[in-house]
Amino acid sequence: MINPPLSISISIFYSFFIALRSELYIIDAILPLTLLYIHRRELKKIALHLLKVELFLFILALLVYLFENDLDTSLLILQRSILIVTTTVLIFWGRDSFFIYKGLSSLGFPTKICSMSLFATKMIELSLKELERSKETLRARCFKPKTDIKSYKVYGWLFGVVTFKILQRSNVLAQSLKARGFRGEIASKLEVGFGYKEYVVLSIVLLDFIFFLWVYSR
Amino acid sequence: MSCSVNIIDLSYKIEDIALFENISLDVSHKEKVAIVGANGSGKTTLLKIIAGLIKQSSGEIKIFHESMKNLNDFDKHRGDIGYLFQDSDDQFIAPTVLEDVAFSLVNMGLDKEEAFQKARAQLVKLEIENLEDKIVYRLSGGEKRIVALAGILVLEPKILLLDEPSNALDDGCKKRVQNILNSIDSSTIIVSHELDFIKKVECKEYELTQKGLLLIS
Ligand SMILES: Nc1ncnc2c1ncn2[C@@H]1O[C@H](COP(=O)(O)OP(=O)(O)OP(=O)(O)O)[C@@H](O)[C@H]1O
Ligand SMILES: [Mg+2]
Repeated sequence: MINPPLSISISIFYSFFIALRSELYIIDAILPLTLLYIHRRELKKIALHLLKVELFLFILALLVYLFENDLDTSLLILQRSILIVTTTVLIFWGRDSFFIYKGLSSLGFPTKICSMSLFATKMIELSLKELERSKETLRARCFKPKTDIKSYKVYGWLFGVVTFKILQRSNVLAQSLKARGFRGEIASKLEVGFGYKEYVVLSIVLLDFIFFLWVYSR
Repeated sequence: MSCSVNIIDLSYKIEDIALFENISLDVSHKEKVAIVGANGSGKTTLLKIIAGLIKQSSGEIKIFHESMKNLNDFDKHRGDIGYLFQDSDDQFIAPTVLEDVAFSLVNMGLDKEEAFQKARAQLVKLEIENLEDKIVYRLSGGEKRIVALAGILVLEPKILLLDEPSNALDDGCKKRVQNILNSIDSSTIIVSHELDFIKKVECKEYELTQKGLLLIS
C-alpha cells in the first residue's frame, strides 16, 4: 500500500483538483482505477462498501436533477463526487487511526495537530467498535430484530448506551494518554518507504494535472 | 524514613455521598502495599487519585514529599509513576504490542530504536516475545493483561500503581509477575481481589472501607 504522507497529500490534492473543475476527462479516472487494481484482492468487499456510500450520492444527484431539471449539472456532481469518494475510500482502505497520525507527523505538521487528529480518529474508531460490540451483545442476549415498538425501544436504549460509552471512552482515553506520559510521540514500525507503488500513483496524479494544464491553456 | 507517596486525610465524594473518607497512608521507598476491598468500595478511584488522573474532594497527596495541589503538578513525575488500568483496553494507544510497550519510553525522550530494544527485552522477560507484532485489540484477555503490564514495567517507575494486575492471568504468568514485583525496588500499591496473588508478593495488606484503610497484616 501507499505510504502515509503520500496518501494524505494525494487524497487532499486530488479532492480539490476534481472538486474545483467544471469539466472531467477519462484521464481523471485513472487514479481510482489504479487504486482498485492495487486492492484487487479485496475487490468484492470494497465494491459493496462503495455501493453503499455511493447510493447516497446517486440519490443526491437525482434530487438535483428533479428540482433543478439540469441534467449536466447533476451528472457533473455525480461524477465528481464518485471520483473523490472512490479515491479517498481506496487510499484509506484498511488503515487505522494511526496511519493518519503517522502521515501528518511525517509531513511535518505540528505535534499538537497530529495528537489532536490521533485523538479524533481514535474516537471514531472506538465508536465504531462500540457499535460492533453492541451488535454482538444483542445477538448473545437473544434479541430478534422486528419492526414493532418493543424493538424500537431496545434500539433507543442501545443508542443511549453507545452514546454514554463513547463519552466515557473519550474520558478514559484522555486519562490513558496522560497516565502514559503522552507528549506527542508514538514510535512506529511503519516505515515511510517510497517504492514502485508510490511512484506509479504519484506519476498518475502529475500526468493528470499536466494534462489538465495543457487542455486549459489551449 | 523516606516516603514516595503520602496520602493525608483523603476523601472522595460522588454527588455529596462519601465513597471513602479520611484515608491516610504512607508508602516509603521500595515498600509494597496491597489494598483489598469489596466491589465498588472505591479502590480504582483511590488509585486514579494517587496517579493524578482524577481530583480528590478533600485531603492531600504528596509525591516524593512534594504536595500535589492540582492535577498538573503530577505531570513532572509522569515518568516516575506507572499506572496499570483495571481494564487493559483502556490503556492501549499504539496499534501493535511492541509499539504500545515502547509508547511511554518514546514519550520520555528515548529514541525509537532504543525504546524498541528495551520493549523487546521486557517482552522476553515476561516470555511473551511471540506477541511482538500482534494488534493489541485482538489479543486474548490474558494476553492483553500481560502486555498492558509490560508497558508499565518497562518504565521501571519509582512508583507503581497496579489495578488488579493478576486478572485473567494463567499461573505461569502470575508467577513471572510476582517474581518481577519481588525483585524491583519501586514503591508499589497493588489493588487486587486475589489474596493468593498478594500473599506471594512481600507486602503490607490493607482493606479499603468507607471509614478508611484498615491494616490487615
Ligand atoms: N464517574 C463516576 N460517576 C459516578 N459514579 C462513579 C464514577 N466512578 C465511580 N463511581 C462509583 O464509585 C464506586 C467505586 O468505584 P470504583 O471503580 O472505584 O470501585 P472498585 O473498588 O474499584 O470496584 P471493583 O472491585 O469492582 O473494581 C462505584 O459504586 C461506582 O459506581
Ligand atoms: Mg476497580
